[in-house]
Amino acid sequence: MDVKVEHLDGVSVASPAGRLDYAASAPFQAQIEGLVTESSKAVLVDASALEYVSSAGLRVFLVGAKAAKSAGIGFAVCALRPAVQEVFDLTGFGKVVSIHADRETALGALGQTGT
Amino acid sequence: MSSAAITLAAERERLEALTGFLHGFWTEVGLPEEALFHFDLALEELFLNVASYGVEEGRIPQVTVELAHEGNAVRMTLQDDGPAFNPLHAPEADTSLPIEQRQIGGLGIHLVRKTMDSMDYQRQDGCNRVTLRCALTPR
Repeated sequence: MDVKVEHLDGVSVASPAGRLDYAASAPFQAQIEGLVTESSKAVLVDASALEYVSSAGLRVFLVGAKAAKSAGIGFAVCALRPAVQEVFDLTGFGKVVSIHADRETALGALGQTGT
Repeated sequence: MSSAAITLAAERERLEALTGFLHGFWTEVGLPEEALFHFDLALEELFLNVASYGVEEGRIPQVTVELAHEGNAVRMTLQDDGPAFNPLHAPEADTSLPIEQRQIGGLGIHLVRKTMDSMDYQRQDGCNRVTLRCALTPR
């Protein structure tokens, strides 16, 4: 799985492309944890190119959200494809991470909550 | 009716080969792409379950996956010769808990239950056999 990372004024945006399955989850988790440490405002996962997620992949979002919370920064996900959105819905992960329709809305929301 | 089967060791590293087998079947039979996701998910969740909990005294179970296209549905069967485990008896994941209390355990089976039309379990001849069925077009 390829992950593109951008840094926008204190917010790190990670855009994973392809399949977030068991094999992809460990390296992606390490990447997200790294971004949480180095970001001053928030970490945003832009999931517009994410085609697949399993429960092993969901774990990364849980770990990321918890790490961001204890670091006192924001954490959000945006632009989920319908199949990926379904996995988030069925597992109640909308309560674990803030989900936004697109990147602009997410960046707006994270900018307001950031310090 | 088209069908195919594969047998491999229940090791996490074999997941890619198993996914490749499923995708290959889908393409070969010409099944609708939008119906693949749920089978992909079910296969990963159930296989990893066996790979995680099926190893007893260092013995790695063998897993056989069968796929069959029957009318407007696909049947997927996972059989393993590991210790008895009925996924239908796995505790329901509590998906209403807040972030501090959330665990990943149990979510995989929960997803399989929610996305498949049916899920059956049999323990037979020292093997666990989970049979899943799902229609190819929305109900």
